[in-house]
Amino acid sequence: MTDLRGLSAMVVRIPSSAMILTAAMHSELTRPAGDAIERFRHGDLNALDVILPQYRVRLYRFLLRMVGEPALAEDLFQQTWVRVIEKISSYNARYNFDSWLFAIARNLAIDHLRRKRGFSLDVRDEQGEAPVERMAMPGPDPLKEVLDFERGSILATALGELPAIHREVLVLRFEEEMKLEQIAEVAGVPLSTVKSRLHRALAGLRRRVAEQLSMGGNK
Amino acid sequence: MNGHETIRAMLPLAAAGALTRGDLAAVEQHAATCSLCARELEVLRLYSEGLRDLPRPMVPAGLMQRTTARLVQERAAAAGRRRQDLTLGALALFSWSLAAVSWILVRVFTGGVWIVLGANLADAGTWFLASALLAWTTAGVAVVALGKHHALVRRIL
Amino acid sequence: MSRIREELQVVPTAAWIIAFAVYFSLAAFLSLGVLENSLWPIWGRALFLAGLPLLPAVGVLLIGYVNGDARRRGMRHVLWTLLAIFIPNAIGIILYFILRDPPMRHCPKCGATVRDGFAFCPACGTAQAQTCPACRHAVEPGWSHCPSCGQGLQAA
Repeated sequence: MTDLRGLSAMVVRIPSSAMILTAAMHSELTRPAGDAIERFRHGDLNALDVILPQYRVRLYRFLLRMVGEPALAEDLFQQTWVRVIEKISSYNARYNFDSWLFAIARNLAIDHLRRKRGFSLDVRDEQGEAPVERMAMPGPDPLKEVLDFERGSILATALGELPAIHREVLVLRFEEEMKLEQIAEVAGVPLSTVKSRLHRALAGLRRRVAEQLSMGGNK
Repeated sequence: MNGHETIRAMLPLAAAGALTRGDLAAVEQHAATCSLCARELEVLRLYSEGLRDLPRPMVPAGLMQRTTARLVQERAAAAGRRRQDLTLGALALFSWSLAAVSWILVRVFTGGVWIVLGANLADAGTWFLASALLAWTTAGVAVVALGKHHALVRRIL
Repeated sequence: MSRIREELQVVPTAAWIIAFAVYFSLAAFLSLGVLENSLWPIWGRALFLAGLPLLPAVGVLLIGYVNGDARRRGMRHVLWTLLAIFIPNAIGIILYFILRDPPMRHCPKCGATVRDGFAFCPACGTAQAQTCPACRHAVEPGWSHCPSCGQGLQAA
C-alpha cells in the first residue's frame, strides 16, 4: 500500500492506506477538501493523502490530452506535484487551488511541448486561424453524418492536432467544465484572449474534422 | 446592438455555455428567426457535446504509488541540496577568513616583509592575490587529474 | 543536533590532537608579541589571541573530517587528505565537499558495504533496490519505465 509517512519526516501515523482507498473509491468530488488544503498550506504534508486522490483523474486526464503520451503525462503529473510542494509556501489562499494546480501543470506541459516542437506552432496558427473563421461553412457539417461511436475518436484525433493553446481551452472548458474566468487564471491570459482562443479552437477543430472525414473517404 | 454579426460572434460561446443568461436569451431569440445562425449554433452544440462526451482515458495502475514514492525522494534530495548549499557557503566564508588569518600570520612571522619573485607577499593585496591564484591553479590541476570533470558539472548544476 | 555529533565522530583522534596543539602553540607564540602591544585595548588583544588561532585549528579539524569521511565513503582518502592539506585557503576542502561520492550503504542481510547505485550485494547477492524485471538494472521507486532497457515497470 502507499506509504506517505516518509513525506513529512515526522513520526505521525495516519491510516493513510485507509484514507486513500476510501477517497479513490468515491467519484471525484467537485469541491476540493478545503481544510486539507489549508493544512497543506501550513506545511502539513500528510494532507496530500487527501488532496492527491481528489485530483488524480482530472489532472492526469488534462495532461494526457495536452501531451498525448501516457508515459510523458505521468512524468509531468509527478513533476506537477513536486512543484506544488515546492511552491505551496508562495500560494495565496485567495486564489482557487484548482486554478493554481492546473496552472502549474499547464505550464509544465506547455514548456515541454515548446521544447519538443518549437514555439512557432502556436504563434503561426494564432494568426492563421482568423481568416478561416470568417468563412461560412457550406452545407451540413460532416460530423453530423458520422455515427455516434466514431464521433469520439474523430474528435479526439482532431483535438490532438490542434495547437496546444487551443487544445488547452477546449479541454478545460468541455472536459474539466471550468468557467472562462478560471481558464483565464490557469492560462495566465486575459478573459478576452480566452474567448478568442475558444473561437479559433472550435473553428480549427471543425476544419480538422472536415479534413479527416474528406481524406478518410468516409461517405 | 444585437445585429446578425454580433450574434454570430457569440455563437461559439453560447454553445460552450459561457454566456450570461441575458446574452444567451438574445442569441436564442435571434436564432429563432435566422436559419443561418440556427444551423451554425446546432453544429457548434454538436461539437460541444462531442467534446463533453469524449471517453475518459484510463489512469495507469500504480500512478499514485509511483508519484508518492517520487515525492518522498524529491523531498530528501531537496533537503540534501539545501544542506550542501549551506555547507559550501560556510566553507567559502571559512576560506576567505583563512586567507586573512594566514596573511596576518605571515606579517607577524616575517616582520612585515617577505619578498618572493620581486613581490612583497606580506602586503595584503599581493598575499590575497597570490594565495588565491595558487589555490585555484592547484585545485584545477587536481580536478583534471581526478578525471572528475563530469561529476563536477553534475554536482554543481 | 545528534547529526552534528555524528559528523564530529568522523574526525580521527589524531586530527583533534593536532588541532589542539596548533591552537595552543599559535596562541602561545602570538602572545609573546601581542601582550606587550599597548595600541590595542585589553579585550581586543584577548579576542585576537583567542580567536585567531581558532581558524587554523578548525582547518586541521576539517582536514581530519575529509580524511575520515573519504574513508567511510570508499574514496581515496590519502589522496583527498593531501589535497585538503596542500591546496591553500581551504579550496581543497571545498573541492572535496563538491565532488564526494554518496555515502555507502550496508547490505541488510550480510552487512557488507555496498556502494550507492548497486542493485545487488557483491558479497551475498541480496537485492539492494528495486530492479527492472527485464534487464535487472536498479530502478528508482518513482519510475514507470526502466532507463536501461525501456521496459515498463509494474507498480510496486
